[in-house]
Amino acid sequence: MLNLTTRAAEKVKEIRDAEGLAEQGLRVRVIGGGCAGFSYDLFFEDETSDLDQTFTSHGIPIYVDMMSAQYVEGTEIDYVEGLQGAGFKFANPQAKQTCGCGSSFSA
Amino acid sequence: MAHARELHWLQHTVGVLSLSDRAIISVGGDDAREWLQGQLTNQVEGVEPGDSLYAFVLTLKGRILADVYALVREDDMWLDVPANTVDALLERFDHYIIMEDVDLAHRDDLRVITAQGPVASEVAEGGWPADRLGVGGRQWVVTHAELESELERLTQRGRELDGGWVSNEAWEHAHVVRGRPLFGVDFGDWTYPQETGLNPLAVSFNKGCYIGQETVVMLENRGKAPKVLWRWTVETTEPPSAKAPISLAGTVVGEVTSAVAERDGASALGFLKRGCEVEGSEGFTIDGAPARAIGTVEAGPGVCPPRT
Repeated sequence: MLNLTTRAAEKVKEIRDAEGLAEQGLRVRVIGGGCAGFSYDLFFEDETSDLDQTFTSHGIPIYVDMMSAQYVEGTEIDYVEGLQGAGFKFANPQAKQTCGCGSSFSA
Repeated sequence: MAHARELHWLQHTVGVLSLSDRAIISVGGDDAREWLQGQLTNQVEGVEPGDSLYAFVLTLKGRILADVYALVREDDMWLDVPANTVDALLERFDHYIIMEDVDLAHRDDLRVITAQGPVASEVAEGGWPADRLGVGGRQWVVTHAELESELERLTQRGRELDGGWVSNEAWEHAHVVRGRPLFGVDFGDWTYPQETGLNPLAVSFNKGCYIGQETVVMLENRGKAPKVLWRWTVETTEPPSAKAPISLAGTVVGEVTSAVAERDGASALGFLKRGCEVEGSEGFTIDGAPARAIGTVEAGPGVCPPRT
């Protein structure tokens, strides 16, 4: 299971509408690399495969492939804004540690 | 002096040898290049087929797991890596392939032949640039079955260019003389990139994230390496052994990593602790013999050759 906070869901909808991608889902993927070993990857997609797990959070479909799913199970995605920048922030219970900017993690 | 003729070839014409301590890992698949960008310390983007890239593979803590010559081909890359790190690298790389289209294979049917020296590029067509001593170099990858005949062919061409075949002993000797540290001898998983002096060759500071990057960037911008490799001369008839203490006014301030006999003493590479550099570079002893710090590896001819 994977959830968006209310703020994150609003931001996802805002970006999705701005880019004319209404009705598309949010693909959450884990890729090898990044300072701490694994990085998150977010993008919109309208196709799923048999290898995907599908969730819905605040009305937004979320697709996670079965390999990535084992690394993000239970993750909550928030959206934060601050003086040092804005972006999606992952609270991932599977992460043993994260890098300083929070964009990568080790597991 | 031992190996005088071969050292002359390597520095002034060309020396040819088979690198039996190196192995090839192939990295193929649609996502190979993007994935490697997150694994290697140097910039992978923009490197064209026929070109090569020197880089490190780091642990999560930023220490050096292997040094790599990435040999770029049309459809994949061959990673020339230390042979004794192949199993660890494959396990490590495999751990970081999630859903990417990346195929890894140890190509144990392949061998590396290199030509090093100012005229190395004239030895043969093809292959990849690979300057391992700061004098210019090229290398070729051949099958195990072709190794002897190709080594003979390239050596013959080297002889025509006033060079010749170089032994492994002379090759190791040349690294000390040129101030170019060797993986597994002078650096390895006990060292950070900044400590080796090889950062100008192996590390990009504007490529973005890769595994181990956070430590490397923090060392570069917010701290200093605890120790750094220097080049040394020693007034002795016997070259000091690895781990021989480097002392200053009776206090141990570093240790030798490799050393070779020279005509009038010994040359060595060795770590000097941060803060122990002295003006004039005199006053040091290695194993009790007077020693002089010539300069850092990073500023030496093996890493930053003078412009010609």
